[in-house]
Amino acid sequence: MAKESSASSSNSITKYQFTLSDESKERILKVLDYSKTIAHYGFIPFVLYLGWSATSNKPSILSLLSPFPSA
Amino acid sequence: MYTYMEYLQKCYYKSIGWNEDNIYSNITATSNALLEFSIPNGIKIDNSNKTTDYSASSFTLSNQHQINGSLAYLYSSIPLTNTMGTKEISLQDAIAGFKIIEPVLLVNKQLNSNLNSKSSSLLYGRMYFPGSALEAMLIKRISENTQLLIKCISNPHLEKNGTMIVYLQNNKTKYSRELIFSTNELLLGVRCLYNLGSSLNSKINPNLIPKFDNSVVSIGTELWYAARTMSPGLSTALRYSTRSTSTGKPLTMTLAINPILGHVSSTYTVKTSVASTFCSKYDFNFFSYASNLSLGFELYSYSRKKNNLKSFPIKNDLPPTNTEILNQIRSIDNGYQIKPDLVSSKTLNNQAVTTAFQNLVNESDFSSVLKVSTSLNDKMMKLLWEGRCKDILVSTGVKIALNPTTNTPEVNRLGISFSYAC
Repeated sequence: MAKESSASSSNSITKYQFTLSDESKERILKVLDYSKTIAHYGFIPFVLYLGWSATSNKPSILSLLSPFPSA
Repeated sequence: MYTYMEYLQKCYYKSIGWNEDNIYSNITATSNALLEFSIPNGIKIDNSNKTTDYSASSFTLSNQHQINGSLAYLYSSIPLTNTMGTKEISLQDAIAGFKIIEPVLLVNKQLNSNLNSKSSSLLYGRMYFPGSALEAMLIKRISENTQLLIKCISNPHLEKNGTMIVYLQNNKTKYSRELIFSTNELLLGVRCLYNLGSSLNSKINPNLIPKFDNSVVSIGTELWYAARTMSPGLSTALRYSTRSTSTGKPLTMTLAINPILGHVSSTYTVKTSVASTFCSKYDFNFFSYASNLSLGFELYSYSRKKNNLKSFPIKNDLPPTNTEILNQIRSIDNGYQIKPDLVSSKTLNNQAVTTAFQNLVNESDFSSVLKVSTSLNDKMMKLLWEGRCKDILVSTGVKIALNPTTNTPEVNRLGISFSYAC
Protein backbone atom coordinates (compact mmCIF):
# COMPACT_ATOMS: atom_id res chain seq x y z
CA MET A 1 0.00 0.00 0.00
CA ALA A 2 2.77 2.34 1.03
CA LYS A 3 4.75 1.33 -2.04
CA GLU A 4 1.81 2.11 -4.29
CA SER A 5 1.29 5.59 -2.89
CA SER A 6 4.96 6.47 -3.33
CA ALA A 7 4.86 5.21 -6.91
CA SER A 8 1.77 7.26 -7.70
CA SER A 9 3.32 10.39 -6.17
CA SER A 10 6.47 9.95 -8.25
CA ASN A 11 4.25 9.52 -11.30
CA SER A 12 2.44 12.79 -10.56
CA ILE A 13 5.80 14.57 -10.30
CA THR A 14 7.05 13.24 -13.63
CA LYS A 15 3.78 14.30 -15.22
CA TYR A 16 4.62 17.97 -14.69
CA GLN A 17 8.39 17.67 -14.97
CA PHE A 18 10.13 18.12 -18.27
CA THR A 19 13.06 15.76 -18.10
CA LEU A 20 15.93 16.14 -20.51
CA SER A 21 18.32 13.41 -21.38
CA ASP A 22 22.00 14.19 -20.90
CA GLU A 23 22.44 14.09 -24.64
CA SER A 24 19.88 16.80 -25.38
CA LYS A 25 21.20 18.89 -22.47
CA GLU A 26 24.62 18.80 -24.04
CA ARG A 27 23.14 19.63 -27.41
CA ILE A 28 21.35 22.72 -26.07
CA LEU A 29 24.51 23.89 -24.33
CA LYS A 30 26.44 23.44 -27.56
CA VAL A 31 23.85 25.40 -29.57
CA LEU A 32 23.94 28.21 -27.02
CA ASP A 33 27.71 28.22 -27.16
CA TYR A 34 27.71 28.38 -30.96
CA SER A 35 25.13 31.16 -31.03
CA LYS A 36 27.25 33.16 -28.58
CA THR A 37 30.28 32.78 -30.83
CA ILE A 38 28.26 33.73 -33.90
CA ALA A 39 26.91 36.84 -32.17
CA HIS A 40 30.43 37.71 -30.99
CA TYR A 41 32.12 37.48 -34.38
CA GLY A 42 29.08 38.31 -36.49
CA PHE A 43 28.18 41.64 -34.93
CA ILE A 44 30.80 43.72 -36.73
CA PRO A 45 30.10 42.17 -40.16
CA PHE A 46 26.40 42.87 -39.47
CA VAL A 47 27.17 46.56 -38.72
CA LEU A 48 29.22 46.70 -41.92
CA TYR A 49 26.44 45.10 -43.95
CA LEU A 50 23.87 47.60 -42.64
CA GLY A 51 26.21 50.46 -43.57
CA TRP A 52 26.73 48.98 -47.01
CA SER A 53 23.04 48.41 -47.69
CA ALA A 54 22.01 51.88 -46.48
CA THR A 55 24.31 53.68 -48.90
CA SER A 56 22.80 54.19 -52.33
CA ASN A 57 25.99 53.88 -54.37
CA LYS A 58 27.09 50.59 -52.67
CA PRO A 59 30.75 51.27 -51.86
CA SER A 60 33.29 48.48 -52.25
CA ILE A 61 33.87 46.23 -49.23
CA LEU A 62 37.49 47.33 -49.00
CA SER A 63 36.61 51.00 -48.65
CA LEU A 64 34.05 50.14 -45.98
CA LEU A 65 36.52 47.99 -44.06
CA SER A 66 39.48 50.31 -44.21
CA PRO A 67 39.67 52.94 -41.48
CA PHE A 68 42.14 54.90 -43.58
CA PRO A 69 40.88 57.55 -45.97
CA SER A 70 40.86 56.41 -49.57
CA ALA A 71 42.66 58.75 -51.91
CA MET B 1 38.88 64.40 -25.78
CA TYR B 2 36.00 62.45 -27.27
CA THR B 3 36.92 59.57 -29.53
CA TYR B 4 35.60 59.91 -33.08
CA MET B 5 32.91 57.30 -32.40
CA GLU B 6 31.73 59.20 -29.30
CA TYR B 7 31.66 62.35 -31.40
CA LEU B 8 29.54 60.62 -34.05
CA GLN B 9 27.16 59.42 -31.36
CA LYS B 10 26.77 63.02 -30.19
CA CYS B 11 26.13 64.13 -33.78
CA TYR B 12 23.51 61.40 -34.08
CA TYR B 13 21.79 62.60 -30.89
CA LYS B 14 21.90 66.15 -32.19
CA SER B 15 20.34 65.24 -35.51
CA ILE B 16 17.45 63.34 -33.92
CA GLY B 17 16.92 66.09 -31.33
CA TRP B 18 17.78 63.97 -28.30
CA ASN B 19 18.71 66.16 -25.35
CA GLU B 20 21.55 64.48 -23.46
CA ASP B 21 21.60 67.14 -20.74
CA ASN B 22 18.18 65.94 -19.66
CA ILE B 23 19.50 62.52 -18.59
CA TYR B 24 20.23 62.01 -14.89
CA SER B 25 23.70 60.54 -15.39
CA ASN B 26 24.79 63.74 -17.18
CA ILE B 27 23.70 66.07 -14.36
CA THR B 28 27.32 66.57 -13.25
CA ALA B 29 28.79 66.38 -16.76
CA THR B 30 30.29 69.89 -16.62
CA SER B 31 32.18 69.44 -13.36
CA ASN B 32 33.29 65.95 -14.40
CA ALA B 33 34.74 67.37 -17.62
CA LEU B 34 36.72 69.94 -15.63
CA LEU B 35 37.85 67.84 -12.69
CA GLU B 36 37.61 64.17 -13.59
CA PHE B 37 39.13 64.28 -17.08
CA SER B 38 41.25 61.31 -18.04
CA ILE B 39 44.94 61.51 -18.86
CA PRO B 40 46.22 59.36 -21.73
CA ASN B 41 48.54 56.56 -20.66
CA GLY B 42 51.39 55.73 -23.02
CA ILE B 43 51.19 56.42 -26.71
CA LYS B 44 47.90 56.06 -28.54
CA ILE B 45 47.14 56.58 -32.20
CA ASP B 46 43.59 56.82 -33.46
CA ASN B 47 42.71 56.96 -37.12
CA SER B 48 39.08 57.27 -38.18
CA ASN B 49 37.27 57.62 -41.42
CA LYS B 50 33.66 58.35 -42.22
CA THR B 51 33.26 56.06 -45.22
CA THR B 52 29.75 57.13 -46.11
CA ASP B 53 27.06 59.23 -44.44
CA TYR B 54 25.75 56.05 -42.84
CA SER B 55 28.90 54.28 -41.74
CA ALA B 56 32.27 55.03 -40.19
CA SER B 57 35.31 53.07 -39.18
CA SER B 58 38.10 53.63 -36.70
CA PHE B 59 41.44 52.02 -35.96
CA THR B 60 43.35 52.45 -32.70
CA LEU B 61 46.84 51.42 -31.68
CA SER B 62 48.25 51.85 -28.19
CA ASN B 63 51.22 50.59 -26.22
CA GLN B 64 49.80 49.96 -22.79
CA HIS B 65 52.04 47.17 -21.39
CA GLN B 66 52.13 45.63 -24.86
CA ILE B 67 51.07 46.82 -28.29
CA ASN B 68 47.36 46.40 -28.68
CA GLY B 69 44.76 47.79 -30.97
CA SER B 70 41.11 47.89 -31.82
CA LEU B 71 38.91 48.17 -34.87
CA ALA B 72 35.55 49.89 -34.65
CA TYR B 73 32.63 50.24 -37.03
CA LEU B 74 29.51 52.33 -36.74
CA TYR B 75 26.25 52.39 -38.62
CA SER B 76 23.52 55.00 -38.40
CA SER B 77 20.16 54.64 -40.12
CA ILE B 78 19.94 58.41 -40.63
CA PRO B 79 22.66 60.19 -42.63
CA LEU B 80 25.18 61.91 -40.36
CA THR B 81 25.79 65.03 -42.40
CA ASN B 82 26.57 67.37 -39.51
CA THR B 83 29.98 65.84 -38.71
CA MET B 84 33.43 67.25 -39.27
CA GLY B 85 36.91 65.77 -39.48
CA THR B 86 39.73 66.71 -37.13
CA LYS B 87 40.91 69.33 -39.63
CA GLU B 88 37.93 71.64 -39.29
CA ILE B 89 36.17 70.51 -36.09
CA SER B 90 35.88 73.19 -33.42
CA LEU B 91 37.63 72.25 -30.18
CA GLN B 92 34.46 72.97 -28.20
CA ASP B 93 32.79 70.03 -29.99
CA ALA B 94 35.78 67.70 -29.78
CA ILE B 95 36.55 68.16 -26.11
CA ALA B 96 34.27 67.77 -23.11
CA GLY B 97 34.02 71.12 -21.36
CA PHE B 98 31.45 73.54 -20.02
CA LYS B 99 27.96 72.57 -21.14
CA ILE B 100 25.51 75.40 -21.47
CA ILE B 101 22.13 74.07 -20.36
CA GLU B 102 19.43 75.30 -22.69
CA PRO B 103 16.11 76.49 -21.26
CA VAL B 104 13.10 74.24 -21.89
CA LEU B 105 11.67 76.25 -24.77
CA LEU B 106 14.73 76.07 -26.98
CA VAL B 107 15.01 72.33 -26.56
CA ASN B 108 11.32 71.91 -27.28
CA LYS B 109 11.69 73.73 -30.57
CA GLN B 110 14.63 71.57 -31.53
CA LEU B 111 12.71 68.38 -30.80
CA ASN B 112 9.69 69.43 -32.81
CA SER B 113 11.76 70.11 -35.87
CA ASN B 114 13.05 66.55 -35.93
CA LEU B 115 9.90 64.50 -35.81
CA ASN B 116 10.69 62.79 -39.10
CA SER B 117 13.50 60.69 -37.60
CA LYS B 118 11.14 58.71 -35.38
CA SER B 119 12.49 55.20 -35.76
CA SER B 120 16.18 55.65 -36.28
CA SER B 121 18.91 53.39 -34.99
CA LEU B 122 22.64 53.40 -34.41
CA LEU B 123 24.85 50.35 -34.14
CA TYR B 124 28.44 50.36 -33.00
CA GLY B 125 30.92 47.55 -32.61
CA ARG B 126 34.54 47.55 -31.53
CA MET B 127 36.84 44.56 -31.42
CA TYR B 128 40.04 44.63 -29.38
CA PHE B 129 43.22 42.80 -30.33
CA PRO B 130 44.78 40.65 -29.04
CA GLY B 131 42.07 38.74 -27.17
CA SER B 132 39.20 39.58 -29.51
CA ALA B 133 36.98 41.20 -26.88
CA LEU B 134 33.89 42.81 -28.37
CA GLU B 135 32.28 46.04 -27.29
CA ALA B 136 28.86 46.55 -28.82
CA MET B 137 26.23 49.24 -28.58
CA LEU B 138 22.78 49.57 -30.04
CA ILE B 139 20.55 52.63 -29.91
CA LYS B 140 17.04 52.11 -31.19
CA ARG B 141 14.48 54.86 -31.17
CA ILE B 142 11.07 53.42 -30.30
CA SER B 143 8.96 56.55 -30.42
CA GLU B 144 9.47 60.30 -30.57
CA ASN B 145 10.67 60.51 -26.96
CA THR B 146 11.65 56.94 -26.16
CA GLN B 147 14.75 54.99 -27.02
CA LEU B 148 16.32 51.68 -26.17
CA LEU B 149 20.04 51.64 -25.48
CA ILE B 150 21.92 48.38 -25.14
CA LYS B 151 25.60 48.22 -24.26
CA CYS B 152 27.44 44.97 -24.15
CA ILE B 153 30.93 43.62 -23.57
CA SER B 154 31.64 40.12 -24.77
CA ASN B 155 34.92 38.50 -23.91
CA PRO B 156 35.45 34.73 -23.71
CA HIS B 157 38.05 35.28 -20.98
CA LEU B 158 35.68 37.14 -18.70
CA GLU B 159 33.41 35.51 -16.16
CA LYS B 160 30.05 34.64 -17.80
CA ASN B 161 31.44 35.82 -21.14
CA GLY B 162 31.04 39.50 -20.34
CA THR B 163 28.24 41.79 -19.33
CA MET B 164 25.26 43.58 -20.80
CA ILE B 165 23.34 46.67 -19.75
CA VAL B 166 19.96 47.71 -21.13
CA TYR B 167 18.49 51.21 -20.79
CA LEU B 168 14.94 52.14 -21.69
CA GLN B 169 14.92 55.92 -21.78
CA ASN B 170 12.03 58.31 -22.02
CA ASN B 171 13.17 61.88 -22.53
CA LYS B 172 10.67 64.72 -22.59
CA THR B 173 11.31 68.42 -22.24
CA LYS B 174 9.77 68.55 -18.78
CA TYR B 175 11.18 65.30 -17.40
CA SER B 176 13.11 62.18 -18.29
CA ARG B 177 12.75 58.63 -17.00
CA GLU B 178 15.01 55.61 -17.36
CA LEU B 179 14.70 51.93 -16.58
CA ILE B 180 18.00 50.10 -16.41
CA PHE B 181 18.88 46.44 -16.21
CA SER B 182 22.36 45.02 -16.03
CA THR B 183 23.32 41.35 -16.11
CA ASN B 184 26.16 42.16 -13.75
CA GLU B 185 24.79 41.34 -10.23
CA LEU B 186 21.29 41.42 -11.84
CA LEU B 187 21.18 45.13 -11.23
CA LEU B 188 17.87 46.94 -11.62
CA GLY B 189 17.67 50.69 -11.68
CA VAL B 190 15.23 53.56 -12.08
CA ARG B 191 16.36 57.09 -12.79
CA CYS B 192 14.34 60.22 -13.28
CA LEU B 193 14.99 63.89 -13.75
CA TYR B 194 12.48 66.68 -13.52
CA ASN B 195 12.88 70.25 -14.73
CA LEU B 196 11.26 72.62 -12.27
CA GLY B 197 9.39 75.76 -13.23
CA SER B 198 6.36 76.52 -15.29
CA SER B 199 6.12 74.51 -18.47
CA LEU B 200 6.75 76.66 -21.47
CA ASN B 201 4.50 75.94 -24.36
CA SER B 202 6.11 76.08 -27.77
CA LYS B 203 3.07 78.00 -29.03
CA ILE B 204 4.03 81.02 -26.91
CA ASN B 205 5.93 83.67 -28.80
CA PRO B 206 9.57 83.49 -27.56
CA ASN B 207 9.67 87.29 -27.39
CA LEU B 208 7.00 87.33 -24.66
CA ILE B 209 9.11 85.30 -22.24
CA PRO B 210 10.97 87.45 -19.70
CA LYS B 211 14.46 88.17 -20.91
CA PHE B 212 16.12 87.22 -17.63
CA ASP B 213 14.37 83.85 -17.46
CA ASN B 214 17.09 81.70 -18.92
CA SER B 215 17.83 79.58 -15.87
CA VAL B 216 17.10 75.88 -15.53
CA VAL B 217 16.53 74.01 -12.26
CA SER B 218 16.61 70.24 -12.56
CA ILE B 219 16.11 67.74 -9.80
CA GLY B 220 16.74 64.05 -10.22
CA THR B 221 17.04 60.80 -8.38
CA GLU B 222 18.13 57.23 -8.98
CA LEU B 223 17.22 53.98 -7.25
CA TRP B 224 19.18 50.76 -7.64
CA TYR B 225 18.64 47.24 -6.51
CA ALA B 226 21.11 44.42 -7.01
CA ALA B 227 18.98 41.27 -7.02
CA ARG B 228 21.88 38.85 -6.53
CA THR B 229 23.40 40.52 -3.47
CA MET B 230 20.09 42.12 -2.37
CA SER B 231 21.81 45.47 -1.87
CA PRO B 232 20.04 48.74 -2.59
CA GLY B 233 21.45 52.04 -3.85
CA LEU B 234 20.09 55.55 -3.94
CA SER B 235 21.22 59.02 -4.86
CA THR B 236 19.60 62.32 -5.59
CA ALA B 237 20.90 65.47 -7.25
CA LEU B 238 19.96 69.05 -8.02
CA ARG B 239 21.33 71.22 -10.81
CA TYR B 240 20.86 74.95 -11.17
CA SER B 241 22.09 76.50 -14.34
CA THR B 242 21.74 80.16 -15.16
CA ARG B 243 23.38 83.08 -16.92
CA SER B 244 24.54 86.33 -15.46
CA THR B 245 22.10 89.00 -16.59
CA SER B 246 24.76 91.67 -16.95
CA THR B 247 27.54 89.78 -18.71
CA GLY B 248 25.71 86.74 -20.08
CA LYS B 249 28.26 84.38 -18.56
CA PRO B 250 26.77 80.98 -17.77
CA LEU B 251 27.22 79.23 -14.44
CA THR B 252 26.12 75.84 -13.14
CA MET B 253 25.73 74.62 -9.59
CA THR B 254 25.04 71.03 -8.60
CA LEU B 255 24.38 69.28 -5.34
CA ALA B 256 24.43 65.49 -5.21
CA ILE B 257 23.55 63.45 -2.12
CA ASN B 258 23.89 59.76 -1.44
CA PRO B 259 22.11 59.12 1.89
CA ILE B 260 23.14 55.46 2.09
CA LEU B 261 26.85 56.23 1.93
CA GLY B 262 26.42 59.60 3.60
CA HIS B 263 28.10 61.45 0.78
CA VAL B 264 27.37 65.03 -0.20
CA SER B 265 29.03 66.61 -3.22
CA SER B 266 28.54 70.19 -4.31
CA THR B 267 30.03 71.83 -7.38
CA TYR B 268 30.16 75.34 -8.72
CA THR B 269 31.28 75.98 -12.27
CA VAL B 270 31.42 79.34 -13.97
CA LYS B 271 32.53 80.33 -17.40
CA THR B 272 34.65 83.30 -16.38
CA SER B 273 35.30 84.45 -19.94
CA VAL B 274 34.88 83.20 -23.48
CA ALA B 275 38.14 81.25 -23.22
CA SER B 276 38.19 80.15 -19.60
CA THR B 277 36.14 78.14 -17.12
CA PHE B 278 36.65 77.62 -13.42
CA CYS B 279 35.23 74.80 -11.36
CA SER B 280 35.25 73.92 -7.68
CA LYS B 281 33.89 70.88 -5.93
CA TYR B 282 33.49 70.11 -2.28
CA ASP B 283 32.87 66.56 -1.10
CA PHE B 284 31.80 65.72 2.42
CA ASN B 285 30.86 62.51 4.14
CA PHE B 286 28.66 62.94 7.19
CA PHE B 287 29.41 59.45 8.51
CA SER B 288 33.19 59.70 8.50
CA TYR B 289 33.53 63.53 8.43
CA ALA B 290 36.04 63.13 5.61
CA SER B 291 36.07 66.01 3.18
CA ASN B 292 37.80 66.95 -0.03
CA LEU B 293 38.12 70.11 -2.04
CA SER B 294 38.85 69.89 -5.76
CA LEU B 295 39.62 72.79 -8.02
CA GLY B 296 40.00 72.88 -11.75
CA PHE B 297 40.10 75.23 -14.67
CA GLU B 298 40.41 75.18 -18.41
CA LEU B 299 42.00 77.84 -20.58
CA TYR B 300 41.48 77.99 -24.31
CA SER B 301 43.93 79.76 -26.53
CA TYR B 302 42.85 81.38 -29.76
CA SER B 303 44.03 80.19 -33.10
CA ARG B 304 46.57 82.49 -34.75
CA LYS B 305 44.59 82.71 -37.98
CA LYS B 306 43.26 86.25 -37.81
CA ASN B 307 41.16 86.05 -40.96
CA ASN B 308 38.71 83.72 -39.22
CA LEU B 309 37.75 86.36 -36.69
CA LYS B 310 36.26 88.54 -39.38
CA SER B 311 33.39 86.12 -39.83
CA PHE B 312 31.97 86.89 -36.37
CA PRO B 313 29.64 89.83 -36.53
CA ILE B 314 28.97 89.52 -32.81
CA LYS B 315 32.62 89.96 -31.98
CA ASN B 316 32.43 93.59 -33.04
CA ASP B 317 29.24 94.23 -31.09
CA LEU B 318 30.22 92.75 -27.76
CA PRO B 319 33.05 94.95 -26.51
CA PRO B 320 30.96 98.15 -26.42
CA THR B 321 28.09 96.44 -24.54
CA ASN B 322 30.56 94.98 -22.11
CA THR B 323 32.23 98.27 -21.34
CA GLU B 324 28.87 99.93 -21.01
CA ILE B 325 27.84 97.43 -18.38
CA LEU B 326 31.08 97.73 -16.51
CA ASN B 327 30.76 101.48 -16.42
CA GLN B 328 27.23 101.44 -15.08
CA ILE B 329 28.64 101.64 -11.62
CA ARG B 330 31.06 104.51 -11.21
CA SER B 331 32.87 105.60 -8.13
CA ILE B 332 31.98 108.94 -6.68
CA ASP B 333 33.85 110.13 -3.57
CA ASN B 334 34.59 106.78 -1.93
CA GLY B 335 31.09 105.52 -2.79
CA TYR B 336 29.46 103.97 -5.80
CA GLN B 337 26.50 105.23 -7.70
CA ILE B 338 24.65 103.61 -10.54
CA LYS B 339 24.50 105.71 -13.67
CA PRO B 340 20.76 106.22 -14.16
CA ASP B 341 20.98 106.76 -17.92
CA LEU B 342 22.48 103.32 -18.45
CA VAL B 343 20.12 101.21 -16.36
CA SER B 344 17.32 101.20 -18.89
CA SER B 345 19.63 100.19 -21.68
CA LYS B 346 20.82 97.26 -19.55
CA THR B 347 17.45 95.51 -19.55
CA LEU B 348 17.22 95.92 -23.29
CA ASN B 349 20.65 94.44 -23.73
CA ASN B 350 20.12 91.44 -21.43
CA GLN B 351 19.02 89.01 -24.06
CA ALA B 352 21.47 90.37 -26.58
CA VAL B 353 24.32 89.96 -24.12
CA THR B 354 23.48 86.36 -23.21
CA THR B 355 23.05 85.27 -26.81
CA ALA B 356 26.10 87.25 -27.89
CA PHE B 357 28.22 85.56 -25.23
CA GLN B 358 26.96 82.12 -26.21
CA ASN B 359 27.52 82.79 -29.91
CA LEU B 360 30.98 84.05 -29.17
CA VAL B 361 31.78 80.86 -27.24
CA ASN B 362 30.37 78.66 -30.00
CA GLU B 363 32.03 80.45 -32.88
CA SER B 364 35.44 81.29 -31.45
CA ASP B 365 38.27 79.54 -33.24
CA PHE B 366 40.46 77.95 -30.58
CA SER B 367 43.67 76.11 -31.29
CA SER B 368 44.33 74.45 -27.95
CA VAL B 369 43.10 74.05 -24.40
CA LEU B 370 44.95 73.61 -21.14
CA LYS B 371 43.16 71.81 -18.33
CA VAL B 372 44.43 71.77 -14.78
CA SER B 373 42.79 70.04 -11.86
CA THR B 374 43.89 69.44 -8.32
CA SER B 375 42.46 67.74 -5.29
CA LEU B 376 43.60 68.69 -1.79
CA ASN B 377 42.81 65.44 0.02
CA ASP B 378 44.12 63.14 -2.70
CA LYS B 379 47.23 65.33 -3.00
CA MET B 380 47.37 65.06 -6.75
CA MET B 381 47.49 67.37 -9.72
CA LYS B 382 46.49 66.72 -13.30
CA LEU B 383 47.66 68.68 -16.30
CA LEU B 384 46.25 68.11 -19.75
CA TRP B 385 46.95 69.90 -22.99
CA GLU B 386 44.77 69.26 -25.99
CA GLY B 387 45.09 70.98 -29.29
CA ARG B 388 45.44 70.81 -33.02
CA CYS B 389 48.78 70.24 -34.75
CA LYS B 390 48.29 70.50 -38.51
CA ASP B 391 45.18 68.33 -39.04
CA ILE B 392 45.74 66.03 -36.07
CA LEU B 393 44.24 66.44 -32.63
CA VAL B 394 46.87 65.88 -29.97
CA SER B 395 46.18 65.24 -26.33
CA THR B 396 48.99 65.01 -23.80
CA GLY B 397 48.98 65.09 -20.06
CA VAL B 398 50.53 64.11 -16.78
CA LYS B 399 49.18 63.18 -13.37
CA ILE B 400 51.41 63.90 -10.41
CA ALA B 401 50.55 62.56 -6.98
CA LEU B 402 52.27 62.83 -3.63
CA ASN B 403 53.48 59.49 -2.35
CA PRO B 404 51.72 59.00 1.04
CA THR B 405 54.73 57.31 2.72
CA THR B 406 57.74 59.19 1.40
CA ASN B 407 55.94 62.48 0.66
CA THR B 408 57.69 62.86 -2.66
CA PRO B 409 55.87 63.74 -5.85
CA GLU B 410 55.51 60.88 -8.29
CA VAL B 411 54.34 60.71 -11.88
CA ASN B 412 51.32 58.39 -11.93
CA ARG B 413 50.25 58.75 -15.53
CA LEU B 414 51.93 60.20 -18.54
CA GLY B 415 50.93 59.89 -22.12
CA ILE B 416 50.16 61.30 -25.50
CA SER B 417 47.45 60.48 -27.97
CA PHE B 418 47.05 61.45 -31.61
CA SER B 419 43.79 61.26 -33.45
CA TYR B 420 42.98 61.89 -37.04
CA ALA B 421 39.59 61.69 -38.70
CA CYS B 422 38.26 62.72 -42.06
